[in-house]
Amino acid sequence: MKQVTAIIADDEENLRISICLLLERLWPELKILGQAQNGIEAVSLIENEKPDIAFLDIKMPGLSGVAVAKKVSNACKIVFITAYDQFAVQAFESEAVDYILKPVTQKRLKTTIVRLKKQLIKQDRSPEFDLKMEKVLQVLENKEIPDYLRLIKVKTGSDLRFVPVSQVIYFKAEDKYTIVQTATNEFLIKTPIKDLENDLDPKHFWRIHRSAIVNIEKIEVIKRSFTNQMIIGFDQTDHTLAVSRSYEHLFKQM
Amino acid sequence: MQTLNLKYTGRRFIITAIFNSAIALVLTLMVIDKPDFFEVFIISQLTGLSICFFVTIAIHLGDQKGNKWSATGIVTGLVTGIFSASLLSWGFLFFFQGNDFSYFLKDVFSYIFVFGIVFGVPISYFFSSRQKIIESEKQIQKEKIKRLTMEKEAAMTTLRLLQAQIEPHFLFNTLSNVVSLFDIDIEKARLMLIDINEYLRISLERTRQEMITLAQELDLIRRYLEIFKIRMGDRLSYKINDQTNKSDLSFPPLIIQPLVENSIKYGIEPTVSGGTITIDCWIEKNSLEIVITDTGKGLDEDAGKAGIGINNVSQRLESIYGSTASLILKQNHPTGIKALIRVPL
Repeated sequence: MKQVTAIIADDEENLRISICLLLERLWPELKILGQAQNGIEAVSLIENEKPDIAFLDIKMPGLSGVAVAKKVSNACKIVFITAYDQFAVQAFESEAVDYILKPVTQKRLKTTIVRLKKQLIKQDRSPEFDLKMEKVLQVLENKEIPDYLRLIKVKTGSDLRFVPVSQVIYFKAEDKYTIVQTATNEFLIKTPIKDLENDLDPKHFWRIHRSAIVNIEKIEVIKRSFTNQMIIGFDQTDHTLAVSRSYEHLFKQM
Repeated sequence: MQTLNLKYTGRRFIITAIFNSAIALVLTLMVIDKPDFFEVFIISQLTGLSICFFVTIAIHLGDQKGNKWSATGIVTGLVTGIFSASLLSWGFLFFFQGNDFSYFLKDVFSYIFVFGIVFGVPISYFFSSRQKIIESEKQIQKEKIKRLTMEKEAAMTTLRLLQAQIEPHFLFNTLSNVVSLFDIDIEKARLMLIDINEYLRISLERTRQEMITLAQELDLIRRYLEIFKIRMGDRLSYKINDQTNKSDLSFPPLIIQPLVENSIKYGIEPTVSGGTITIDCWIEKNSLEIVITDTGKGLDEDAGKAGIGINNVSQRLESIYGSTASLILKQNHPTGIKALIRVPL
């Protein structure tokens, strides 16, 4: 029987060395072909050395472990190494890939080794297995769903600044631009109000007009003008904004 | 605005009716010479219920003006009730019992007045103290709920502060590192455990404090970065330059730490070659300036996730200092992020 080979990829050197030592102890016949300290190195190591097994840390610079697994698509058996992570652990319940939780214990690694040995004899390469694998990787990737917009990128002179949305009092459309109003500054961005409305957390940001979105935490007063128009006043600025009729219902219960 | 509590009001009328029946019985048996129980019963009910009715109204009106169960309310209700009861009783006697008009002033009114006062005052007093007990119980209940809510909120805040400092990922990754170090370099493992121990101790102690000193905060940051230095090796380097020359500058916890955490998590860790974190503190005029610079990846792709911590810091600064503090986030040249904090002294 040909010798079984493996590579190890983890950005933290101590963990890498420690897994190597554990594997030497528990599976002396296994030959470790190399170690990678980031995702990019891991891909080239797998492509060049063609190991039977790749131990991949999920969180790595360059490319994540999941991205590496996708890229080398079934070139070898994958064992993910991960720290505390509920989502990931759920995804791993399917047997397409194995996982080890950090800190890696002898007991857990032994179970993995037994499982790997079985699989290597079977050489399971059915399309079913590939499908399962693909699904698991997809779940792991989707974990990184884009969140609400929390920082607004603005340009001031030659500087690039990131304004935390909690500092924004309101957004207002002005010609081709959108004004980002904070307590101390006014910035111009190119993102239209409509796109901002979709990206901002609706718990804090309400559209009140075709051309305006307000941060409801910055509202100080809501009043009526003599023409019965609803007007919003803010804590940190003298500016006021009009609420268009179609959005007035938002404030009816306040 | 006070609304009439129908449950208590209904109960009050029922209890009044029971009192009335008892009064009628007592009067028939003991006081009145020509006992006609039916007549006495009806008049007694009319009197009691009408007093109850007017006292309830008077008190409800008093309530809306803010004086609960005032004596004026009770007296006004009592007198109005007695007059109305006299009229009703007279009507009853006139229409159903065939008594004539002159009977009204002579007997009905004086009897009802006397018995109305004799029985009405203590019964009204009974209801007023009963109501007071109900209300004070309600008040105690309310205070209790309020206290529990506040205690719960305080506990939640402490927990949140604690979680922000001792994030599960950080803890598990760090402890895994210590475990591996036992196989590789025992001395290093020992040093790392000392750092973790100190970091946890400081974190736990200060969650109960609103303010600590800048020196304490920087000490915590140093431990935190030392831990990461063991984990990341050459990929991380850091510098802390405290030029304030003061050891007792008061400063809130969890302002610098989350920003440093962001720099590592979204700046340096995702960069293959790693980077440097620099923290500069100095005093300018009447404010304390703190600048945290990293040479990491910058904030493009992960801006969403990195932003949660930054928004928390910004809101914390605002709740502590109002508009006198500021947090500015800039792109660092050539790479990375620069966070500028300014707080008043």
